[in-house]
Amino acid sequence: MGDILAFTLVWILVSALGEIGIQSLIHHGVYYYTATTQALDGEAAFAFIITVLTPVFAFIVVMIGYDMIRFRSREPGMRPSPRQFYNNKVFVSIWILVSIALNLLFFVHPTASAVEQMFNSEKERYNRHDLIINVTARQWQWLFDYPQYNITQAQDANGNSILYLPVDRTVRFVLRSYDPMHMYDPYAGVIHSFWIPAFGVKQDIIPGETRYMYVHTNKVTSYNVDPMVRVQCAEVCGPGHPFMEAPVHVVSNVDFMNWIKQQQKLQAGQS
Amino acid sequence: MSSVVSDMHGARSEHARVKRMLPPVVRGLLWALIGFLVMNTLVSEVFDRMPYHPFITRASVTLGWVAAVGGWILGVGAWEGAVKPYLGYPEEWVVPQDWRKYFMYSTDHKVIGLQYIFSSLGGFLIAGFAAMLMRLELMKGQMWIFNNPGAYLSTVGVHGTVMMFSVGTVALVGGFGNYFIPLMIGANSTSFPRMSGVSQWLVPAGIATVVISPVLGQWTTGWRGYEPLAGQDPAGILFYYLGVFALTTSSLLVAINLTATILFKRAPGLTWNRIPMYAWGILAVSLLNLIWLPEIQMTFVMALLNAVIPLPYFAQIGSPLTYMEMFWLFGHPEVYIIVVPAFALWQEILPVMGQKSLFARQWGIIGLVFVMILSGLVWAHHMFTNMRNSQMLPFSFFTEMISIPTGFAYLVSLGTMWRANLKLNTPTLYTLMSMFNFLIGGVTGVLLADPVVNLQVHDSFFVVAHFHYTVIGAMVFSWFAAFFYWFPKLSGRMYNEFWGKVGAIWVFIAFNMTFGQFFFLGLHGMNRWVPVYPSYLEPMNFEVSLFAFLLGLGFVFNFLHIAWMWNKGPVAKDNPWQAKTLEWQTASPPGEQNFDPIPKVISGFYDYRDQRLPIRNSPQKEPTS
Amino acid sequence: MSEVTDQKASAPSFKQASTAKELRQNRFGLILFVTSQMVPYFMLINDRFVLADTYVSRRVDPLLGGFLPTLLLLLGVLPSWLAVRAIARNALLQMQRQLQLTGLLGVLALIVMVWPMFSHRYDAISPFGEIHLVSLGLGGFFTLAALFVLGSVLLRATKGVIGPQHYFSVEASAWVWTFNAIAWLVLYIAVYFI
Repeated sequence: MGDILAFTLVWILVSALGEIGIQSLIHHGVYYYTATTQALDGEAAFAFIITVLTPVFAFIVVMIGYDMIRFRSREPGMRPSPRQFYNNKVFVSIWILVSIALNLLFFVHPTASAVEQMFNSEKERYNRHDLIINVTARQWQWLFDYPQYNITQAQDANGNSILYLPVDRTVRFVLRSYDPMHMYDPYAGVIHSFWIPAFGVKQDIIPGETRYMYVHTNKVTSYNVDPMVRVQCAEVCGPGHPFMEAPVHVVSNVDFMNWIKQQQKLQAGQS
Repeated sequence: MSSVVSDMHGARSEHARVKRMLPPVVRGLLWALIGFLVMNTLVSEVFDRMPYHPFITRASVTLGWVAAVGGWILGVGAWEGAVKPYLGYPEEWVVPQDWRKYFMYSTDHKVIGLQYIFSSLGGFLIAGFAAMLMRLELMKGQMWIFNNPGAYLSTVGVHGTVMMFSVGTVALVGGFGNYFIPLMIGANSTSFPRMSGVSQWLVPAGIATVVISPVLGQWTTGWRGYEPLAGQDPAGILFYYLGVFALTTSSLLVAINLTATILFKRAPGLTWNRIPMYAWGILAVSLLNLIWLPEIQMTFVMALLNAVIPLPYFAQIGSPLTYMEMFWLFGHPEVYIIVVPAFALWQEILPVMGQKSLFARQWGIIGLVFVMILSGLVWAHHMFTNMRNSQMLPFSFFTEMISIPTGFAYLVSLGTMWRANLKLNTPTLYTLMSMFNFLIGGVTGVLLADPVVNLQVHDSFFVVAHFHYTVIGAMVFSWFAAFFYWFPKLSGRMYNEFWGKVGAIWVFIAFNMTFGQFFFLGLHGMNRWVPVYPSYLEPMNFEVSLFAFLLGLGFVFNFLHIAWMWNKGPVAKDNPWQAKTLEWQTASPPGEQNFDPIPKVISGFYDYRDQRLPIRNSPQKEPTS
Repeated sequence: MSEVTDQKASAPSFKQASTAKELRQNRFGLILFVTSQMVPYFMLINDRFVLADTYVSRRVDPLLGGFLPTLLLLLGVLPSWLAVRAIARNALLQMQRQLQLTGLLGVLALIVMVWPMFSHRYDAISPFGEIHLVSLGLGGFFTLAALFVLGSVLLRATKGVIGPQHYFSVEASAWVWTFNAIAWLVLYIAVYFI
């Protein structure tokens, strides 16, 4: 009984310390940098799971450590332990019930609830005034078109693809994988994955299919502010895979419209 | 077995004296070369001449490889040892009783087990070297070791493929399984020793095939061979498919052999209730192998036809996601193929080292079996980033639920250690470290099972860290636990406790410092398969690489320690741990006959209330055995 | 290749008589292997629905590539098991006759199933991916393997290592044959009728 009491005390102590550490980690942001509501949803789910699991983790680690110290053999040879038992119905029952309960909890929240929340933004009724961006993944470059503004392949001054987004707006990325610049086979596509680390969500792009990804931007930021605000291909797509990135700028509505005008002018000049 | 037969007849067969031949491995290489050249020439020059007739075409290299593997298998001894006697010729294969027996076809399960152990060890070192190259490259954000990203990606592919198919699925099953399962169930051989002798030699062939694959051209897909990218790759991808085919065939044959062995070769009195935990683990793994290895083999045959003929199954006009589905349908059970024997090992080692009866044994078995069953229902959690939103929840559900039977392995292990008389030696340390590492793998697995989190961390270094925690952290650490636990049995000698512990603590710290930081790299936006990455990630990657080198050195140190003590260690007692399982109730190392006579089991193996043996070894020679 | 090695090693010792337990063990190992080889068929039939729905290339002849080999393979099942019964009664010659009959049917089946595939022009950009041809090709591969097993058993028979005490290899070839015939029947139904 003394062992159980001592173990419980150590466990509670370690769990409490662990929670303090975990909470400070969560306070700093487990996702490092977030710029959409989707990323905040994901971060909250992450934080919830690690908060709940900290005592579980501590239980097992403390028990391993406690066994190592308290029940270690102090003699040179092997001797059967004087205390033998095969089962402990109370312990096994609690273990099984707690593990089932925890899993059901996680399935309800955050799994199902956060999925519901994140994908709610994709519902038709919410998407009347989305900014639509056609994203084309070719080997190995991202191309961004703004069909509502007649912009194809938005570029910066150096001719590199660039993604500008207005803040506080739902953006609908329309994702396709093919190669409009291919010499003879524009449909020679491979699987890419559209990932903006700061946006907390990614979507694979499958050749021959059209996929959608919705985000809702919530702060003005850019690649220059934090390098996590970049488009990065996350699924290996050949030797050029690491170079398949593009800077992202989330700007105010006014700046966004200025940028649109500038791009339109640029495109008019090119054609 | 052949040597046993010849000894039983009193004299060595005459053929052994008169017949001189090349060392079998050399002859195998020669026959493989001849086979390849003949078949390759026939295909590329005669049957399937291409425009500008190149000597090596995709079709010719595939068929040439088949002939080469056939030549290799026959050359190392299957010709005299298996084919000729099967066809009714006298058996002429004599295995010398010295180091040479490890370099030829053999039917002794202990020789085969050690061959498997050393094959997987070779694979581990090669793939580990590839990992060191990768970490060296990742010390900087630009290319500096490799001169193009394709070379880096090929290295990633070789590392992953060799580690998964020749270490992960082989080391604890083909290796320790072949050696110890017959010993643990009181048998003198496996059920199908000839098949086992043949299947072992597929492993070096498979490893060599994957390792030399870049000769045919870089392949950039990593260990998964993802289509449609693989369809674009140069011909190196062919050797990926073929090498994996050899390795999986080997594992499939091991699964058949060990399943039949456990079911039919048990000593009298070894009832179903008394089957050792490791045998339960091997049984569960074998069933997984029997279902999922043919599945992935067929997938790879389709992908091979895709590349050779070519066909467009997985290109845009086919169905790219079908390849993914089929790959992960196998790919997730594969993870449990790797880790279930590790769970079983914990439950094998802890009662011995704690000298305490195994706690809640039935729950341990239920855990192993339910992990096996559920593992087939979770594959699509590898595909959350590309599946319908509505399909996520069921897979998420099963993925979370699989943590319940997995937890039973902890339940049993922790319950066994509680109030035990725990010997804190090297195998115990490795077992506890394995439990700790898998715990981190499990907790991060819960995070990954959550779709919303998964959409952020999938395909990032977070996932890399997670699966290295489950594979290295759990399986490789248990592999070392097994090495040290069974070291006296394998070698008849004792390792050095001090250096063993130093090695354990060394790799534990280096491992956790390396892969623990991977989680943060991933969360900070480091994606996978990139030799070039944004510079803000460089400081952490640089420092991670240093720990990775430390980890590599730690593994090498452990192997050197094992090799040194294997030859120079002090002679060990037959049963130094006072263990009750059957493999310790015979000489260390076991003689040519494991048990003579076969013992009769009279109680379970995990009861440490007293020091009575679980067998009756019949001092007055029971006539029945 | 793996099928063949399995056959060889299934015989625990080549000259001694098998005990009943060894026989059960060998049969178990073989059935385990055969069962595991059903998985590729399940997979291919499912893949075919994904890739090509129920489309069958009009260039494939349902009579030559489907019905005739099915019939021939199923006919071969009977003599293969008659051979097992014959050797159990120590009628070696009768066993050889039956196995030769099975083999003949198998060779004929192989010819008729390969013929339409040879004359078929592969279409590398077919959206249907020629998946049914790969399914039938798997059946052809297993027919070849079953013939290989049969041939090796016939070879063994001439060396006098098969007798009424030791005839598992004959039984094994019958099992493999039956598996192949049934698998082909299932494929035939799946490819041409469903």
